[in-house]
Amino acid sequence: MGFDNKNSYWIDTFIKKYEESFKKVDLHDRKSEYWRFASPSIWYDVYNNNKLPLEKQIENFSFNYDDITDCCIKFKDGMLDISSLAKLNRGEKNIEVSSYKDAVTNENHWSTQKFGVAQLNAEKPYERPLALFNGLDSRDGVFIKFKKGVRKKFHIIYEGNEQKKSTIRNLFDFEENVDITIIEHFYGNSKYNIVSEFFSHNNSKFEHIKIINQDITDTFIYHLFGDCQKHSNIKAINFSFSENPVRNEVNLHLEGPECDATVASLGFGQKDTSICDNTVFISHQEESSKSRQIIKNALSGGAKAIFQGKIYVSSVAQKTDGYQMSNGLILTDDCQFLVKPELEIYADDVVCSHGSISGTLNDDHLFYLQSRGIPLAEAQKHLIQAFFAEILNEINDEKVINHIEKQISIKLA
Amino acid sequence: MFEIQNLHVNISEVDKKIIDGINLKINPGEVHAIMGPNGSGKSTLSYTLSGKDGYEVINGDIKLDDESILELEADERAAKGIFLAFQYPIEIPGVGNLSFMRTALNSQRKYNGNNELNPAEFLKVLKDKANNLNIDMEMLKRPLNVGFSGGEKKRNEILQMALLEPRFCVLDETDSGLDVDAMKQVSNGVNSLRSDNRSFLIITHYQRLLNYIKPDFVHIMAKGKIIKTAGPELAIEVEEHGYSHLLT
Repeated sequence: MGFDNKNSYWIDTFIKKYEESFKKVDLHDRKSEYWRFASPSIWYDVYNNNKLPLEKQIENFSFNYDDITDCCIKFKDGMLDISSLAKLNRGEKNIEVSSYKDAVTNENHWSTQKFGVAQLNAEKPYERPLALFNGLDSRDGVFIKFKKGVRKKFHIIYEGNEQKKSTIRNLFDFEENVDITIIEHFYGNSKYNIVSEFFSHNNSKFEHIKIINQDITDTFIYHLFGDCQKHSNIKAINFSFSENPVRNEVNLHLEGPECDATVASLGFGQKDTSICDNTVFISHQEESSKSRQIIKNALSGGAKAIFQGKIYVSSVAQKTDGYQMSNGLILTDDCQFLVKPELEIYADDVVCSHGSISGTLNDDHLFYLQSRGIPLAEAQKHLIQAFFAEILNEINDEKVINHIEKQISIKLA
Repeated sequence: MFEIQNLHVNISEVDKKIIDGINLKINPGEVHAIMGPNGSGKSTLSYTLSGKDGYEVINGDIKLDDESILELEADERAAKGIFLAFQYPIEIPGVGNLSFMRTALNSQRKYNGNNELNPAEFLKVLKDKANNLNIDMEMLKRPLNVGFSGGEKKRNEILQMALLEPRFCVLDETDSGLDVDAMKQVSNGVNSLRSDNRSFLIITHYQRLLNYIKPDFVHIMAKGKIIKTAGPELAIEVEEHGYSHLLT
């Protein structure tokens, strides 16, 4: 198998490698530590779902794109809208944007030096079979090089209408001193499998926000693999409102010293079909880097949330500061919040901590609000919104915050 | 008028009777103080009046303007005009003080058939109240009670009282944890809200608060009952001699 059956390209080596590795994987094998709570087959097999009409999707859940002045790239049913790319390349001098197709069929493309590198670094400690599948199956995506010093905000919008697969491969390269925000929005009738690799060079700042809207009708899995050089400042924030299985895999390799990495996730599930799985691995390879993992899930109606978070500190990564906290707000008795925190530390001068709290709404908080005339249902909504406030405080974009608050309100209605 | 008739209350969790037959009538404009030793049931009384779960009325009644409030939830009692100023106001991270107060006011207005205030209207009302109480609006930009000092928490309670304009206010050990200056400030706030249409039930251990908020009546509570009622001089008597001579 290659990119196509006519010609050979540099990408074919990778496709063949991923295909060979994928063949050896048993998707129903639950022995792997990182798949014990949810089998990889969930995100591979055909999934029974409730298809929503497209017009209902856009009416209820859509972000207001009308007054966006930032850059915008669109995917429909797994295929890149080339016109959105063409508009981008005309206007932007400090950014090189290519489609997956154009990049992988060009032997001189910059991505030949980067493709697959971050994914390879993430292969330990466990296999990522759905990332392997993405590697052999993806035929579209976007590869963007951000040149030195550029500051930019991007929206990437993925729409699904025809109940097809959206197996997409992205690659982002950040040169020194950039300040980039990428906000990815996911909608509709599609089985999403996304792999995004990024490389942040010295002093670069990257904020990555994913919004998985509640009209997604199939399973969703996203792998974010990042290699970070000195003084990189990385934020990976995930918002999941889908009532179907979602797996958010984040693997950050802090290769340079004095990096600052935050991974945060907000999940809101209200049905027994909802699985919100965050599997996060942050590896400190040099000294004086900081990392934070903050996971919050509100669950009702039989929903399930999973958090597997690891902080790895190599022997030379002295003065590491690593923090991990997961909170589960369990609103009905039939929900599960499954947590497996890990610290693997080989340096001896570090500060690392992990904690997890699960519980229901605080009765004293509820009574305080009610004693001021706020009815019980309204008081519960306030407290659920308050529960998520810590994650919302991680982002600065007012439109995104308003959209997230609207999604939470729709769920609470 | 607020009336407690032969009230008997169990704490459900431990199935123990704490209030053992209380009768009390508080007319509009009156200030009543309840004092008593620890464990006498004072806080149980305040939670029962405000409708907190876990406090089961097994006999008797509580009436506001001759109508029983026992079937009303806590938010309904508040909307009818009952306000509890907590001894330990709880911190609620993530809930903005300002948005909480607006929601509270509008919830009560809605319950009583009045139009809700928009943000600008609300802010104007709140600023007036805060200015009258010498409360800094900066405090309102913070999460509800989070990181507030003891005095700030109590002042926030008084501001809520001023905003919601209740008809019957229960102050549960409002002086608890306050230094003299903070206590004076809180007392001034309470006194500024005294009117012919508003009555107060002040629960306190110490007579000193009653130097600043002068009561019309003082009741001594012990073992779930009111054992003595008199004028303000009773508080001074307790300050000088303690409770023991009243308990025998």
